[in-house]
Amino acid sequence: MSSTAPEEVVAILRSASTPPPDPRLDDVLEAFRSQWRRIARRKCPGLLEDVDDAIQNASLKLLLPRKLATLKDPTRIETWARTLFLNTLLDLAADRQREFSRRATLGGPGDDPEEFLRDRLPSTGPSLEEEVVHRERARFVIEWIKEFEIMQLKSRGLPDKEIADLLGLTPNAVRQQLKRRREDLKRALGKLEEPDG
Amino acid sequence: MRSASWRNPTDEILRRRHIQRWAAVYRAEAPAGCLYTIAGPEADGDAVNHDESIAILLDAVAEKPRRGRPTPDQRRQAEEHLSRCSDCCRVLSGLHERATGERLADTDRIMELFGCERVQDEMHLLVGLSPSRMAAEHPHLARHLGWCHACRDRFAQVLQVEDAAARGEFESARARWREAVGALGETVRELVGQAVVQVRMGVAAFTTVPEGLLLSPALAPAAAWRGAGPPTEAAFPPPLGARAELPLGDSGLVAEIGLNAQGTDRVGLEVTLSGAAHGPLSVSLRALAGDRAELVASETARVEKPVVFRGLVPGRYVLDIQEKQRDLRFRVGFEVASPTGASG
Repeated sequence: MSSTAPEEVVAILRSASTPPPDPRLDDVLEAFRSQWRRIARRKCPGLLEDVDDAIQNASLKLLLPRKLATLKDPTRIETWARTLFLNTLLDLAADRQREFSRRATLGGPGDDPEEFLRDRLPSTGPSLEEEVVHRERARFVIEWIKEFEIMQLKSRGLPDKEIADLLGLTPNAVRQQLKRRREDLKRALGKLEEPDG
Repeated sequence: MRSASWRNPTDEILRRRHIQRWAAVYRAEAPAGCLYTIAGPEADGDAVNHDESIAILLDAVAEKPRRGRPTPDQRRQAEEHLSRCSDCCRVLSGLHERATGERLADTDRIMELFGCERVQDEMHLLVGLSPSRMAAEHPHLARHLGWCHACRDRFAQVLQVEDAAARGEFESARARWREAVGALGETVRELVGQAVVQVRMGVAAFTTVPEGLLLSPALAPAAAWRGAGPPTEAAFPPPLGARAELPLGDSGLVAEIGLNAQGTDRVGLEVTLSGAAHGPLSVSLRALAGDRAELVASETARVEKPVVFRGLVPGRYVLDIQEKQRDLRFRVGFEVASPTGASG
């Protein structure tokens, strides 16, 4: 791959979605995969067979026109591809509950991400619009966590009153939440049962 | 709630480092195999990290919380952390889905509100830029990284990988070959170095490889990792992989070597050749005993058609790959190590 110009590598990858693909496509993909394997081996030797899944998922993403469109500077194709793989690997690790100690697993025990970022990121505050979005997100997340807690406690068979006591809510609030959830489920089931849905 | 106040980044760094150190100590004390750990009353109580946030929320609903029900303050901190961490929201959603078989409502909406996917797609643009250029050229990315725990961690990982890539650490190491003379006076290209394979807990894997042998990860059967774990294995080198590829010099051929465990100590070897063969190929295996090399098996090979050698006991071997048409001979030495670590 090092002998091929970055722009050419991008064109080869793009050819996957406009048959016939460039005959060099397999070689280019293999060059990426081989580098990803080395990254995975180095960054997370404990992931074992998940690495193959991550490589497969990242290979598919690499060829997606939608993903390729996020590559704004073709000269950064290698960095872009490495980042794409790393994100895929981390998503997979999180999805499979590869412990909660992601830093320890992926970064090594001596790597503190905050320390690593010191001096490498600007101290940038949020814009007004972002503050509004943050408040909305925080509100949503708190509601969402409440739903998680109520559903978890309900699935343990606890009565509404006890759930309310545990979570510092009124029994009515618990019932409202459960009712809302039942309605959501009904709507979802209704959609499934629609002939064209 | 404190979430609306944007902390001074330096204070935040110091606080999180302190808590991470504390969390690492606590994690080390947690019993093996426990699902999570939780911040106890001795935590510094000012902020929580990923592990602690999830643990607090789980303890709020667990039948038998590991450290008691979280205090209102701990809950607030966990909520604050999750409102800035899409990774933890994803973990919580996954836990709920596994426990109840149902997806939490609004999960997709929350992920959209975080907007991490777009940022992670564009993170590569920040690599190599100074903080001031980041802020000037990609302000939305810089601002997102200012508050998002998940993306900050990812960006740290990206920078680490890119630093290593710049040092050439992910360049492919080429196999080194030396010329040797075979039993009949023929020239043989021998791979410099020796691979070592071993069966451990029902899995055969390479534990040492010479330069140029490109590994795929080892597959571990689920049963192998259940229970108390493998404390007696600590003295052995970690398994590196169960398959490896070896480009055969500049011949255009590649040998893929796969391992599988047969019983507690024997190894099955599968050799698959690929690439542009110019004529018939052959693969043979010899066992080394002192100065003698005894033929184990020899087979004619075809491209993409695996050749299998079964039941290799601990000992030293050489694998010969030959293409007669071009008079090419490649030799790879390897050792099957005893599962106990004793020399074979």
